[in-house]
Order: sequence, then C-alpha cells, then structure tokens
Amino acid sequence: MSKKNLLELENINLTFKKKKILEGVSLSLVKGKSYVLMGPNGSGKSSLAKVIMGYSSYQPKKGAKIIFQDQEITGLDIDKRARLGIFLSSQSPPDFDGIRVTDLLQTALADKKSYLQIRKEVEKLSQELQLDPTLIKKPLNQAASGGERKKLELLQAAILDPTFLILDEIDTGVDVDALKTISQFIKRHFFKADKTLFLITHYQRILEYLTPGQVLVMKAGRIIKSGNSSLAKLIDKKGYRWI
Amino acid sequence: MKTTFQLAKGLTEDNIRQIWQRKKEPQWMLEFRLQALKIFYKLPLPKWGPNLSQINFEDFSYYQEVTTTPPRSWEDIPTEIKATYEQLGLPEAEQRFLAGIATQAESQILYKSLRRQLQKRGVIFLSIGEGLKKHPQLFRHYFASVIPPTDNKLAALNSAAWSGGSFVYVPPGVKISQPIQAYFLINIPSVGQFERTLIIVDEGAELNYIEGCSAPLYHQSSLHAGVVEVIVKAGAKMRYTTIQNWSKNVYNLTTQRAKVYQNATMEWIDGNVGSRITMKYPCCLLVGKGAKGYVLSLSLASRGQYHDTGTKIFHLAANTSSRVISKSISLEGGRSSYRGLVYTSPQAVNSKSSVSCDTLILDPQSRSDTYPTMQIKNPKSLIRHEATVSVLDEKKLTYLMSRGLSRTEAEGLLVTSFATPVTQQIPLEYASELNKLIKLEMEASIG
Ligand SMILES: Nc1ncnc2c1ncn2[C@@H]1O[C@H](COP(=O)(O)OP(=O)(O)OP(=O)(O)O)[C@@H](O)[C@H]1O
Ligand SMILES: [Mg+2]
Repeated sequence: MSKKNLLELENINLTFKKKKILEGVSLSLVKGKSYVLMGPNGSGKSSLAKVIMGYSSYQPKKGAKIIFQDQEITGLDIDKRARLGIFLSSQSPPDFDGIRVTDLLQTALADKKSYLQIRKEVEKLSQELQLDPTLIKKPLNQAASGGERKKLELLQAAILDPTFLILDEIDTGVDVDALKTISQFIKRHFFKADKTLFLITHYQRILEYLTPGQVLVMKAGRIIKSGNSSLAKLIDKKGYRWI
Repeated sequence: MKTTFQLAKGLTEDNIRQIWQRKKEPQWMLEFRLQALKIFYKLPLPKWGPNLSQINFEDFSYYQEVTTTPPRSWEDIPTEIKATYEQLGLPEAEQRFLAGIATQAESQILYKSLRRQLQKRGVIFLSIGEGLKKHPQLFRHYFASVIPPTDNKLAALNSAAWSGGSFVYVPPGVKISQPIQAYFLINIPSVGQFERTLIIVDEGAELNYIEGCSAPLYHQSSLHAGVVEVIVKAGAKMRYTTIQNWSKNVYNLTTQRAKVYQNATMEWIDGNVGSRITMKYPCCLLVGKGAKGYVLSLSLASRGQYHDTGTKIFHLAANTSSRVISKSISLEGGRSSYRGLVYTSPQAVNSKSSVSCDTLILDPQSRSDTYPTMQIKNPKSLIRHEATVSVLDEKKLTYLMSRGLSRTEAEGLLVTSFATPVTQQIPLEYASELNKLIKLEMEASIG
C-alpha cells in the first residue's frame, strides 16, 4: 500500500536575510535508488540537505511540503526526523570534548542496544574503516583529521541504520586509499534495496566506485538538470558553465 | 533513627557543657569547646558571597543521641527523595542506608570487616569520638592543629559543638590503594551536622578517602558546619573526595584544610550538587619543600541554590606546586561563584600554580561569577589563571539531535561532558551516579 516514493519535496524556498538560497525545489526520490547531487560552490546543496534533515535554522518558507515515507514531516523537529530514519553526514561536523562516539550512540540507542553491544560494533566498524583504534576512545572528532571525521560520520550511520542517508561531501579531503575504503564501506552497508542514498559531491572519482542511479545538478538554488551517471562524467570534464 | 536525647535549642555554655558530659570527654576538650564558643560569638559572619544573616544560630539543637533501630519508616521519607534514589538505580539496602533507616546490623557488618583489614596494617579508622578515647595523645597532638577555632566563625561553631565524623591514621609507608568510604562511620550512630574529620597520613603513606555520596542526604536540620583537617607528612599522598548532595534546605558551610609537608601530595576532589547554600573552599597549606596541592571541583547550582566555592592555596616553601580545576554549572536561576586565593610567600621560590575555572551557564536567569585573588610575595614563582564562561553550543546540540537525541538528552550529554575532568577522577560508581544526577536535575528543570 506504501507508495514507491521515499521522499517528496514540494516547492522548497529558503532565504537568509532576503538572499534566496533555494528556489522552488521539488523532487521525488524512489526507495532503494541512489542519487548524486552536484553543483557549484554556494549553489545550495548543503542547505537542501539541512532542510531535509530539519535543522531549525533551515526552515523552508510557507507553501513547502516534505513527505517522507508517506508521512508529512514539514516542521517536524530534527531529532524526530532522525528517529524516522533520516541521517545527514555533516560537511563539517563539530568537535566535542568529553563525548565519545560510543556515548553519543549509547544515548541515541538507549532503548535498543546495550553499551557493550554498541562498543563491540563500533570496534568492528572502525576496523572496517581502517580507523586508528585509539580514536574511538577519544572525544568525538577531537584532534581528528578531515578524513577521520568523515569515517566517524559513516561509522555512526552504520550503527544508527537509517533508511535515507544523505552524505554531504563524504569524499572531500580524503586520500586515495581512504576514498576506496569509504566507498567500499558505503557500498557494503548502504547500497541495499531498503536504503536510499543521496550523495552530494564535487568529484567524479567516488562515482567510479558507486555508480549512481540518477545525477542531479543544482545551480543558484534550483535543480536544473538530471541525468544518468554519464552526466557526472561530463561535468567532470567540462564544468558547469555549459549547462 | 530514633532520637533518644535531644539537647535544648541554643548555643549556651551550659548546652556545650552538656555535650561534653554526655560524650564523656576529657577535661581539655571542655576547655577547648568553651573557648571556641567565646570565639564564635566574637567572630563576624563571612562578609562575602551568600547572605547568611537569615540563620538563627539559637534556633538549633546542637546535639542529639539516636538509637540505630529504625523507627523512622520508609513511608516517612519525602517522596521526592525516594524518587531520586530509584532513578539513580540504587539498591534498596543502600537507599535505606542513605535515608537513615538502615539497621545497625546492615552497616556494622560492612564496617567491621573493613576495619579488621585495616587494623592488620596498623591503620586506625574510627569514629572521631572513639578516636579521642582510644588514641588520646595522637588525637590531641593533631586536633585543631590545621584549623583552629579562630579560623572563622563556622569553624568556631564546629569546634564548640562538634560530634560525629571520622578519625584516620595511616602509619609511615603504608599504602592503602582501595578507597576508604566514610559513610560507614558517619551513620554510626548518627548523621552529624557538626561533624569533624581528622586524618593523618604519616611519612610515605598513601590514603584515598571518600566522603558522602551522590544520593540526596535526608536531613531534618538545615545547618551543616563541618570541619575536615588533613595532615600529609613528608613524601605521603592523600586524596580526599567529597560528593555532596544535601537536600535543598541545607546550609552547607564546611571548612576543609590540609597541611602538606615536604614532597607530599594532597588532592581535594569536591563535588557539590545539593544544598541551598554551600560555602566551601578546600585549602592546601604547602609548608614543606616540593609539596604539591591539587584541587578539582564541580558545582551544580539549580533553582534556589547558591554555591560560593573555591580553593585556597598557600605556597609557603620552595618548589611547591599547585593545580586547580574548577567546573561550575548554573541552571534554572541557580548561582555559582568561584572564589579562589593563591598566595606565595617570600620563601616560596620556584613555586608554580595554575588555576582554571570553567563555567557553564544554561539559561539567562542563571548566574556565575569568578573572584580570583593572587598574593604573590615572591617574584620567582609562576602563577597562571584562566577562566572561561560558556553556554551550550547550539551547533553541537543540533548535531547530537540530528543523531536522534532529544534536546534534553543532548543537553544532558553536553553538560556531563563538561564535568568529565572531575567525574573521570572519581570511582566509576560515583561518576555514573553523578552523571545521572546532573541529567535528573536538568530533566526536572524542564519538566
Ligand atoms: N546559515 C546560513 N546563514 C546565511 N547564509 C547561509 C547559511 N547557510 C548557507 N548560506 C548561504 O547559502 C548559500 C548556499 O550555501 P550551501 O552551503 O548550501 O552551498 P553548497 O552548494 O553546499 O556549497 P559547497 O559546494 O561550497 O559546499 C551560500 O551563499 C551560503 O553563504
Ligand atoms: Mg556544501
């Protein structure tokens, strides 16, 4: 009885101090498919991701509608959306002092998993991600490199097990080997029929590991083009100007 | 506990004499008590911080005797306190114990086996009253040697009216690694409002002593004026941990001081959660060369609470060093102040001190102040002071919430992580209770 669409965005407008950031974005995403969103710096990609996630300072203007798994979530708080199965890996996650990734996950999953269970899973996943084992014992992101932060985001995603996963520039600032590790990790954990992946990236390279079902291009707050994986290759060669 | 004797209210010579009589103490103690009473009447109330003028010292009974059979029943304990015990997940025996309704047998069994183990190594661990009776010379030599009655009005009050507390002596070279918990003693025979603790750690010995607990202590009387004296002899090491959660009607006005000899180390770890007003400034007198003082404190002041806490460090010899880390959290209109003193004497060449005070203010109604004082009589010493004031970082809150934590859970996690430098220094079961308590306090503030 459930429709095929996982997420419907209708008429998303977002402004900051009269500056238009998103302009009438509408989009339908299908369950189990993977998407790539590309676009020049400042075109509004991260803003769109935050609108979907429900960041309180990224509330779209009136007339917008967000439907997730047949349920309207426009105006729903960020933590409730997370509990419905939306996960956004942040482009620049903050550093914490005193909160380890296991503390965060234990609080998030208090009613589902024990601390020991979580710690075991974290250890296993951090091996898969080739993370330095001392890192997960330290406060989250404290003294972590750019690439390590990205891996810690993926580690959280794998444990929280969302149905809809938005990865905002998960491949930025990541070395060649790490890119391979990360891509394989994504493939293993999130390329599944019951999960939908929404990848924001500037680079074709990650797409060599993860072939997207659909490529979307954003420019000046609008989605202006859509195509298959060859569109990403074209952009890699020619940039955005020709579009 | 059932009160079998209660002294008439008021601070009179006759009342003090009665305490002395009932406790069957030696003559010198009577003179000491009466002298202290005179000093009490002479000294003024502290002129800083919270206003204590509401306290009517004549309106208290300064001595009770109680039986340890528990005629006060579980039903008599306020529901608020029972609920907190339950939320802390304390076992029922411990709940009964804390509520003051544990049986004599329950606590005596634990205490006796501990005392036997310690006795084998020559360690004295007694209630302070027993200490005075069984070790009169040792007791008299050190008693009031670190905190004389003239020190301040509340120390004078305690000196006149004291009863209860503990007496600990660790002989030279004996190292007690397992923390010694005081609450076995405090409950025998009564929870003292004017208790005194006297601890002597002899040369090269080590002691780790823990007092209090994070569950709220139920108290009918609202004035608590304790005195804690610690002597750390050359090369010895002492850590004194207090986790205090007085019920919210209590004035907690406690004097704690350690005299630290050559190359000895004193560590005060002090967590204050409850009470209406707390005024407490753990102090180290670094009298021997190379002595070290270390103070780590955490204060949580919520609605109707005012914590004026801090540290006093006196560098009185060469090469002494000190480190102070103070963390305070104010919420729901609570107020906390850090009041600290670092003094270096002319003799204290090459001394080092570093003080950092971090404050977290959770809402605009709450308040926090820092009053550091430095008296440097010695140019060859290195003194550092840092203070930070912060609010909860909205970015971090949002990030945590994006992982499915409710706002309250996210705030709780951020606040407990602020307290981590203190909580990671205390035994795990205390730390986790303290963390739960912080979260409870925050939930109560929104609920
Ligand atoms: N919180 C904010 N307040 C004000 N302006 C904002 C805010 N967030 C984003 N913007 C503005 O919105 C525009 C789009 O930013 P956004 O981060 O969405 O771009 P992006 O497409 O993700 O760019 P990049 O590829 O560089 O990550 C930019 O002009 C940015 O300055
Ligand atoms: Mg971006």
